[in-house]
Amino acid sequence: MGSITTAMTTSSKAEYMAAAHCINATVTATASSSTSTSYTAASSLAGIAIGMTFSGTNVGSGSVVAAITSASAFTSSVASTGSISGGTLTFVADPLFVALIIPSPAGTYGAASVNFTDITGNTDEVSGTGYTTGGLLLTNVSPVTSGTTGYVNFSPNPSWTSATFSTAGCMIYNTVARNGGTSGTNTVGGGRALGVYSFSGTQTVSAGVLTLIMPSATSSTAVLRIS
Amino acid sequence: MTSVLISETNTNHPPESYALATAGQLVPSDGYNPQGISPLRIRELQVKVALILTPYFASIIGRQRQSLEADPHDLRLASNVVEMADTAAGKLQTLSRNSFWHAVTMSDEWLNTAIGIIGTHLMTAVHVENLVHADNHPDVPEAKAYKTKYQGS
Repeated sequence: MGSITTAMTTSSKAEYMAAAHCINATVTATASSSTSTSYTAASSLAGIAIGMTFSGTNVGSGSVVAAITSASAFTSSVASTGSISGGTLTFVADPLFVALIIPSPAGTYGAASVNFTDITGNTDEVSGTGYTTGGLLLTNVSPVTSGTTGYVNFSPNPSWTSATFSTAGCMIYNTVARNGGTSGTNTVGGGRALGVYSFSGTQTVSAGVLTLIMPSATSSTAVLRIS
Repeated sequence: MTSVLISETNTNHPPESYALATAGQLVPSDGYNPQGISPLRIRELQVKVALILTPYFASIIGRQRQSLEADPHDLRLASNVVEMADTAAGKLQTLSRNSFWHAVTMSDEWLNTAIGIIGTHLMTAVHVENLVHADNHPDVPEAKAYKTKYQGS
């Protein structure tokens, strides 16, 4: 039998240095473009990073920030499809998901976990009414620092409604493939694991609501932190 | 995860549950405790904190529910969460006067952290209310889109 131990994954710590994860909050800004990949007159680029997707009226489908060229200008991976004059753009970082692990899993999950496929490969993901394979999308909040620690939480807390299943832990993972893979099963593609969390026992919901209460957002307790 | 809330019916968690979960994070029983406060006193304080917070959760859930009943298509936040969290944190500072907790709660850092913790849980209460609303109104496009966004189906 396997186990679930609360830990940030070791592989993710190297991946942060390799720019494999972007956990910024969603940002809105205004900017202008004229049927090109150049965007100018941005109201602010604070909180915007290369690789974040963005959308808005006349923004090309699948646009990603390719380069930040000044404090108020950037280029896109895709040209705008029409004139944009001070249009509102919405920038989104990597979609992180939280997937639930069954009680008494076959696999062992903790600091050595590297990918969401670790769970699915062992058939250890929860299945049941109200649970969608792959888990729930988390709402990113911008990382902050306190003392010598950087940390981030997600808000609101994830919740499953009309749910019938049992679970004993979860994994937070990144669905975006930002690099070519770094180690172990963490090869090309998304699914890299950021953290594994034990619920200290089996939690069962029957035709009800199950909400995960994440640790408080402090430098010593936040769900993801680097010191 | 600190804890898991479970409702046995497909309704929002009761305000008291949110309040107790929040109190557990504001006054952690396994956290920094340089004064050697006994677990019993910490538990008593958690209960007092939860009693103060419960009306805020009841209020925000009630307002969101009323708002959704008035317009099932509008799942936007019906309350000012930051203002509510700020007020609640101020109440907790008042509660802490003449107690062992006072030295902690008077710092700006604690206040900011407390507002963040309370705010996250208030947002969660609204989020769950919206999800339950979506379950009960599968024919409302906005509600269906909300559920799809957060739960995938």
